[in-house]
Amino acid sequence: MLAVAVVAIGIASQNVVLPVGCDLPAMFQSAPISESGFRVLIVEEAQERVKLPASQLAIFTSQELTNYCDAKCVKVNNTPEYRIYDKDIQFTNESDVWKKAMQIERKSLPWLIVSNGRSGYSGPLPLTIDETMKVLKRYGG
Amino acid sequence: MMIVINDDNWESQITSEYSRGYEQRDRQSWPVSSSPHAKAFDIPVIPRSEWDDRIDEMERTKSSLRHILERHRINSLDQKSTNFCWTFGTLTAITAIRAANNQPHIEFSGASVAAPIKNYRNVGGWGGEALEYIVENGVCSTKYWPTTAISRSYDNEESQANRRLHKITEWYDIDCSDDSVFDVVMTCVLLRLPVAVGYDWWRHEVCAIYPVKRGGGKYALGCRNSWGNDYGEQGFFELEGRKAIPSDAVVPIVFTGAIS
Repeated sequence: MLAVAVVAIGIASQNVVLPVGCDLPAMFQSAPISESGFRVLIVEEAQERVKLPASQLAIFTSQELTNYCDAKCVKVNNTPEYRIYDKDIQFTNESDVWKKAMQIERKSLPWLIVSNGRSGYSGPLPLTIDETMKVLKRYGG
Repeated sequence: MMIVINDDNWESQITSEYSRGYEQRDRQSWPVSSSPHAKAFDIPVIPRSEWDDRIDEMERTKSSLRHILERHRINSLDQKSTNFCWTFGTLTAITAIRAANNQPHIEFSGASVAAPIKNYRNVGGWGGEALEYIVENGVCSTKYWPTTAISRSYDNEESQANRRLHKITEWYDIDCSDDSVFDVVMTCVLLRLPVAVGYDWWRHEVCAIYPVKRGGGKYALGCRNSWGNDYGEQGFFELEGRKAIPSDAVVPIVFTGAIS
């Protein structure tokens, strides 16, 4: 069984559980993605999914997260601006927004980037859908 | 209506009016992971003792690849009268990967892959052939090549430029001679990795998409066919018992990021 150490931190008086080893100051910063509008990126390693707790794996494709992102993310050509990408993805004609976002420094995988163009989060993906939604709602409303 | 194929009713499936086309892989010429870009499957198999809980979690959070495809309202592919199921099965997997990535939906052309491989003949093959071709050459949108058009006229500058945008960069080749192959495929779908699965008994290739719990330690493989939305539930159906154990299985892992 995979053991995952966690640390509780406060985000707007809500406790969010994150894997240990996070660089806290790096998580709450000016917008990780400078373009205006709410965007979400999860970077993962598809071949390492088996190492994740089932509750964390479910975040990627969960109805709650995708419905929220469908509603809140800015749309480009009718597609809500959220992506879940393998760390090794090669871009051909993806937009520059995502090419740049994939260059943001990551210290572990899976990694979550949330931005509303003014502020945002860049840090480890929380361990559950509920905790991830707290981070998203802080910046996406 | 959900179609369940098992050891008792499978014969009705091989006499159906639908086209198929999977050809048994020549394992002497193409041993497992011998293709230039294929990797042997090296992900640890998820123990059966965890399957029920993981399937329950998947259902509770509506996070299977079937849920994703349904939320995106992505139709089942339709190979029509071609014998190209072995390419359509892999394209169904690629479509699911892109939907899970939330990349804009692109309908890919089966004929843009299968027809050049087979020298523009309407003949069968196996999934690894399609995947290797997509690694090297890509697959183009139906905007440039109708999905069942077996014609050299579509192999032009425009379609070639488009296909270069859409390539697989990593794929796994599963050893189906191993007794654990069903557990390996279930591991993949539990991890939201779609698997193009070929069946010698059916001479057909489809795409494994989601795990199904039957109770009492029994499981089925939820798949999507390439016979359009009228088959099963929007193309989804289930294989169980010995009929769920594939003769060939390939897993595209990473596909290029492209918006058109």
